[in-house]
Amino acid sequence: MSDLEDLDEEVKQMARDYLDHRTRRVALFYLGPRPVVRCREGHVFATTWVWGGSLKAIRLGPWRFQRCPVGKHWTLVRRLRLSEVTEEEVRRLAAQHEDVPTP
Amino acid sequence: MGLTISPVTAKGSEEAAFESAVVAPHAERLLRLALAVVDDPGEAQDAVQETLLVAWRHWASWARLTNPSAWLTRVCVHQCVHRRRLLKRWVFWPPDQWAAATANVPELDVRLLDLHRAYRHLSPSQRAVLYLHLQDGLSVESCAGQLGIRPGTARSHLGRALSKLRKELLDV
Repeated sequence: MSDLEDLDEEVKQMARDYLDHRTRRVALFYLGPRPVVRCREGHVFATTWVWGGSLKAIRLGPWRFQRCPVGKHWTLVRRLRLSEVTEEEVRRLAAQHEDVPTP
Repeated sequence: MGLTISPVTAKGSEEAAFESAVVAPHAERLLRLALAVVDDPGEAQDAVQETLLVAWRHWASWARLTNPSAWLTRVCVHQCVHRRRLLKRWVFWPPDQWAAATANVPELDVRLLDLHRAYRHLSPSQRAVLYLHLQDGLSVESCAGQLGIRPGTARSHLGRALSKLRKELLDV
Protein backbone atom coordinates (compact mmCIF):
# COMPACT_ATOMS: atom_id res chain seq x y z
CA MET A 1 0.00 0.00 0.00
CA SER A 2 2.91 2.38 0.63
CA ASP A 3 3.49 2.88 -3.08
CA LEU A 4 -0.16 3.75 -3.59
CA GLU A 5 -0.15 6.15 -0.69
CA ASP A 6 2.86 7.93 -2.12
CA LEU A 7 1.27 8.49 -5.50
CA ASP A 8 1.04 12.03 -6.60
CA GLU A 9 -2.39 13.42 -5.70
CA GLU A 10 -2.22 15.81 -8.62
CA VAL A 11 -2.00 12.95 -11.10
CA LYS A 12 -4.96 11.28 -9.42
CA GLN A 13 -6.99 14.48 -9.55
CA MET A 14 -6.17 15.00 -13.21
CA ALA A 15 -7.07 11.39 -13.95
CA ARG A 16 -10.39 11.97 -12.14
CA ASP A 17 -11.06 15.09 -14.24
CA TYR A 18 -10.13 13.25 -17.40
CA LEU A 19 -12.30 10.22 -16.65
CA ASP A 20 -15.17 12.46 -15.62
CA HIS A 21 -14.97 14.32 -18.90
CA ARG A 22 -14.48 11.15 -20.88
CA THR A 23 -17.42 9.30 -19.38
CA ARG A 24 -19.96 11.76 -17.96
CA ARG A 25 -20.35 14.05 -20.93
CA VAL A 26 -20.36 11.28 -23.49
CA ALA A 27 -22.75 9.19 -21.40
CA LEU A 28 -25.14 12.14 -21.19
CA PHE A 29 -24.91 12.50 -24.96
CA TYR A 30 -25.89 8.89 -25.48
CA LEU A 31 -28.25 8.28 -22.59
CA GLY A 32 -30.28 11.33 -22.44
CA PRO A 33 -32.39 13.14 -21.64
CA ARG A 34 -32.87 12.07 -25.29
CA PRO A 35 -30.49 12.18 -28.24
CA VAL A 36 -30.54 15.51 -30.03
CA VAL A 37 -30.48 15.50 -33.83
CA ARG A 38 -30.33 18.12 -36.56
CA CYS A 39 -32.18 17.86 -39.85
CA ARG A 40 -30.76 19.09 -43.15
CA GLU A 41 -32.72 22.32 -42.85
CA GLY A 42 -31.05 22.97 -39.52
CA HIS A 43 -33.96 22.18 -37.22
CA VAL A 44 -32.84 20.67 -33.94
CA PHE A 45 -34.99 18.32 -31.90
CA ALA A 46 -34.84 15.36 -29.53
CA THR A 47 -35.74 11.98 -30.88
CA THR A 48 -35.49 8.31 -30.01
CA TRP A 49 -32.36 6.84 -31.51
CA VAL A 50 -32.01 3.09 -31.17
CA TRP A 51 -28.87 1.68 -32.75
CA GLY A 52 -30.31 -1.71 -33.43
CA GLY A 53 -33.47 -0.74 -35.25
CA SER A 54 -36.10 1.85 -35.96
CA LEU A 55 -39.72 1.83 -36.99
CA LYS A 56 -40.38 5.36 -38.15
CA ALA A 57 -37.02 6.10 -39.72
CA ILE A 58 -34.93 4.70 -42.53
CA ARG A 59 -31.35 4.27 -41.37
CA LEU A 60 -28.61 5.43 -43.76
CA GLY A 61 -25.37 5.04 -41.83
CA PRO A 62 -25.03 8.06 -39.55
CA TRP A 63 -28.08 9.62 -41.20
CA ARG A 64 -31.72 8.73 -40.84
CA PHE A 65 -34.61 9.68 -43.02
CA GLN A 66 -37.49 10.62 -40.78
CA ARG A 67 -40.08 13.30 -40.13
CA CYS A 68 -38.89 16.53 -38.57
CA PRO A 69 -41.44 17.68 -35.96
CA VAL A 70 -40.13 21.26 -36.08
CA GLY A 71 -40.40 21.94 -39.82
CA LYS A 72 -43.14 19.31 -40.33
CA HIS A 73 -41.32 17.73 -43.26
CA TRP A 74 -39.51 14.50 -44.13
CA THR A 75 -35.77 14.89 -44.18
CA LEU A 76 -32.37 13.40 -43.37
CA VAL A 77 -31.32 13.86 -39.75
CA ARG A 78 -28.10 13.11 -37.93
CA ARG A 79 -27.07 13.22 -34.30
CA LEU A 80 -25.31 16.35 -33.15
CA ARG A 81 -21.61 15.90 -32.57
CA LEU A 82 -20.26 16.57 -29.10
CA SER A 83 -18.14 19.39 -30.47
CA GLU A 84 -21.30 21.10 -31.76
CA VAL A 85 -23.22 21.23 -28.54
CA THR A 86 -22.68 21.82 -24.83
CA GLU A 87 -24.19 19.79 -22.00
CA GLU A 88 -26.67 22.59 -21.22
CA GLU A 89 -27.69 22.82 -24.87
CA VAL A 90 -28.37 19.08 -24.99
CA ARG A 91 -30.78 19.44 -22.06
CA ARG A 92 -32.37 22.65 -23.37
CA LEU A 93 -32.82 21.43 -26.94
CA ALA A 94 -34.14 18.08 -25.82
CA ALA A 95 -36.76 19.81 -23.68
CA GLN A 96 -37.78 22.25 -26.44
CA HIS A 97 -38.73 19.97 -29.29
CA GLU A 98 -39.71 16.40 -28.62
CA ASP A 99 -40.37 13.81 -31.27
CA VAL A 100 -42.86 10.98 -30.68
CA PRO A 101 -41.17 8.31 -28.53
CA THR A 102 -41.19 5.60 -31.21
CA PRO A 103 -37.74 4.54 -32.45
CA MET B 1 -33.16 7.16 -23.36
CA GLY B 2 -30.72 6.72 -26.23
CA LEU B 3 -29.56 3.33 -25.10
CA THR B 4 -32.47 0.97 -25.21
CA ILE B 5 -32.56 -2.73 -24.56
CA SER B 6 -35.48 -4.57 -26.03
CA PRO B 7 -35.09 -8.33 -25.67
CA VAL B 8 -37.18 -9.76 -28.46
CA THR B 9 -38.50 -12.54 -26.26
CA ALA B 10 -39.31 -10.35 -23.29
CA LYS B 11 -42.99 -10.17 -22.51
CA GLY B 12 -45.02 -7.92 -20.25
CA SER B 13 -44.12 -8.16 -16.60
CA GLU B 14 -40.86 -10.02 -17.20
CA GLU B 15 -39.67 -7.21 -19.42
CA ALA B 16 -40.72 -4.63 -16.85
CA ALA B 17 -38.98 -6.55 -14.07
CA PHE B 18 -35.79 -6.80 -16.13
CA GLU B 19 -35.98 -3.11 -16.92
CA SER B 20 -36.33 -2.12 -13.28
CA ALA B 21 -33.81 -4.65 -11.88
CA VAL B 22 -31.08 -4.41 -14.50
CA VAL B 23 -31.44 -1.69 -17.12
CA ALA B 24 -32.60 1.25 -15.03
CA PRO B 25 -30.12 0.90 -12.15
CA HIS B 26 -27.10 -0.29 -14.14
CA ALA B 27 -27.19 0.89 -17.79
CA GLU B 28 -25.68 4.32 -17.24
CA ARG B 29 -23.05 3.02 -14.82
CA LEU B 30 -22.05 0.32 -17.29
CA LEU B 31 -21.91 2.78 -20.19
CA ARG B 32 -19.61 5.06 -18.24
CA LEU B 33 -17.38 2.11 -17.39
CA ALA B 34 -17.35 0.98 -21.03
CA LEU B 35 -16.54 4.51 -22.18
CA ALA B 36 -13.55 4.43 -19.84
CA VAL B 37 -12.34 1.09 -21.20
CA VAL B 38 -12.84 1.41 -24.98
CA ASP B 39 -12.00 4.42 -27.13
CA ASP B 40 -14.99 4.36 -29.43
CA PRO B 41 -18.32 5.52 -27.89
CA GLY B 42 -20.19 3.32 -30.36
CA GLU B 43 -18.18 0.29 -29.26
CA ALA B 44 -18.90 1.19 -25.63
CA GLN B 45 -22.59 1.31 -26.37
CA ASP B 46 -22.45 -2.05 -28.13
CA ALA B 47 -20.55 -3.56 -25.19
CA VAL B 48 -23.27 -2.43 -22.81
CA GLN B 49 -25.95 -3.72 -25.14
CA GLU B 50 -24.22 -7.12 -25.24
CA THR B 51 -23.85 -7.07 -21.46
CA LEU B 52 -27.55 -6.46 -21.03
CA LEU B 53 -28.35 -9.24 -23.47
CA VAL B 54 -26.13 -11.62 -21.49
CA ALA B 55 -27.98 -10.53 -18.35
CA TRP B 56 -31.29 -11.20 -20.09
CA ARG B 57 -30.15 -14.72 -21.01
CA HIS B 58 -29.30 -15.27 -17.32
CA TRP B 59 -32.51 -13.63 -16.15
CA ALA B 60 -33.95 -16.91 -14.87
CA SER B 61 -31.06 -17.28 -12.41
CA TRP B 62 -30.69 -13.56 -11.69
CA ALA B 63 -32.09 -13.84 -8.15
CA ARG B 64 -29.39 -16.37 -7.23
CA LEU B 65 -26.53 -13.97 -7.99
CA THR B 66 -24.87 -12.87 -4.77
CA ASN B 67 -23.58 -9.61 -6.25
CA PRO B 68 -25.39 -8.71 -9.50
CA SER B 69 -23.59 -5.37 -9.77
CA ALA B 70 -20.16 -7.02 -9.73
CA TRP B 71 -21.36 -9.69 -12.14
CA LEU B 72 -22.51 -7.03 -14.62
CA THR B 73 -19.26 -5.14 -14.22
CA ARG B 74 -17.25 -8.27 -15.03
CA VAL B 75 -19.39 -9.09 -18.07
CA CYS B 76 -19.17 -5.50 -19.31
CA VAL B 77 -15.38 -5.35 -19.01
CA HIS B 78 -15.15 -8.74 -20.72
CA GLN B 79 -17.32 -7.44 -23.57
CA CYS B 80 -15.13 -4.34 -23.85
CA VAL B 81 -11.98 -6.44 -24.05
CA HIS B 82 -13.61 -8.69 -26.63
CA ARG B 83 -14.72 -5.78 -28.80
CA ARG B 84 -11.34 -4.09 -28.48
CA ARG B 85 -9.65 -7.27 -29.72
CA LEU B 86 -12.06 -7.54 -32.63
CA LEU B 87 -11.46 -3.91 -33.55
CA LYS B 88 -7.69 -4.41 -33.46
CA ARG B 89 -8.00 -7.51 -35.60
CA TRP B 90 -10.04 -5.85 -38.33
CA VAL B 91 -8.85 -2.26 -38.21
CA PHE B 92 -5.11 -1.76 -38.36
CA TRP B 93 -5.24 1.72 -36.92
CA PRO B 94 -8.46 2.04 -34.94
CA PRO B 95 -9.52 5.67 -35.05
CA ASP B 96 -9.42 7.57 -31.81
CA GLN B 97 -13.15 8.17 -31.75
CA TRP B 98 -13.21 9.65 -28.31
CA ALA B 99 -10.61 12.28 -29.19
CA ALA B 100 -12.48 13.00 -32.42
CA ALA B 101 -15.78 13.28 -30.57
CA THR B 102 -14.40 15.72 -28.04
CA ALA B 103 -12.22 17.69 -30.47
CA ASN B 104 -12.61 21.45 -30.14
CA VAL B 105 -14.43 21.11 -26.84
CA PRO B 106 -13.30 24.32 -25.14
CA GLU B 107 -13.25 23.06 -21.57
CA LEU B 108 -10.92 20.17 -22.35
CA ASP B 109 -7.67 21.35 -20.84
CA VAL B 110 -4.45 20.86 -22.82
CA ARG B 111 -3.02 18.80 -19.97
CA LEU B 112 -6.01 16.49 -20.12
CA LEU B 113 -5.15 15.89 -23.76
CA ASP B 114 -1.64 14.94 -22.63
CA LEU B 115 -3.23 12.60 -20.14
CA HIS B 116 -5.42 11.21 -22.89
CA ARG B 117 -2.33 10.29 -24.93
CA ALA B 118 -0.97 8.31 -21.98
CA TYR B 119 -4.36 6.81 -21.24
CA ARG B 120 -4.49 5.27 -24.71
CA HIS B 121 -1.54 3.07 -23.74
CA LEU B 122 -3.30 1.60 -20.71
CA SER B 123 -4.65 -1.93 -20.96
CA PRO B 124 -8.41 -2.51 -20.53
CA SER B 125 -7.83 -4.00 -17.08
CA GLN B 126 -5.74 -1.01 -16.01
CA ARG B 127 -8.43 1.34 -17.30
CA ALA B 128 -11.18 -0.56 -15.50
CA VAL B 129 -9.37 -0.53 -12.15
CA LEU B 130 -8.42 3.13 -12.56
CA TYR B 131 -12.01 4.07 -13.34
CA LEU B 132 -13.56 2.06 -10.51
CA HIS B 133 -11.02 3.41 -8.02
CA LEU B 134 -10.99 7.07 -9.03
CA GLN B 135 -14.49 7.65 -10.36
CA ASP B 136 -16.59 5.19 -8.39
CA GLY B 137 -14.44 5.68 -5.29
CA LEU B 138 -13.98 1.97 -4.66
CA SER B 139 -11.10 0.64 -2.62
CA VAL B 140 -8.55 -1.55 -4.38
CA GLU B 141 -10.09 -4.60 -2.68
CA SER B 142 -13.57 -3.63 -3.88
CA CYS B 143 -12.26 -3.05 -7.42
CA ALA B 144 -10.79 -6.54 -7.32
CA GLY B 145 -14.13 -7.92 -6.11
CA GLN B 146 -16.01 -6.14 -8.90
CA LEU B 147 -13.64 -7.40 -11.57
CA GLY B 148 -13.16 -10.91 -10.18
CA ILE B 149 -9.40 -10.56 -9.79
CA ARG B 150 -7.07 -10.77 -6.80
CA PRO B 151 -6.47 -7.59 -4.77
CA GLY B 152 -2.75 -7.81 -5.53
CA THR B 153 -3.48 -7.86 -9.24
CA ALA B 154 -5.83 -4.88 -8.95
CA ARG B 155 -3.19 -3.00 -6.95
CA SER B 156 -0.64 -3.77 -9.63
CA HIS B 157 -2.97 -2.57 -12.42
CA LEU B 158 -3.68 0.65 -10.56
CA GLY B 159 -0.02 1.29 -9.75
CA ARG B 160 1.07 0.74 -13.35
CA ALA B 161 -1.74 2.87 -14.74
CA LEU B 162 -0.92 5.81 -12.47
CA SER B 163 2.77 5.38 -13.16
CA LYS B 164 2.20 5.63 -16.92
CA LEU B 165 0.02 8.70 -16.54
CA ARG B 166 2.53 10.39 -14.23
CA LYS B 167 5.38 9.63 -16.60
CA GLU B 168 3.54 11.20 -19.53
CA LEU B 169 2.73 14.32 -17.54
CA LEU B 170 6.28 14.69 -16.25
CA ASP B 171 7.71 14.23 -19.75
CA VAL B 172 5.65 17.08 -21.18
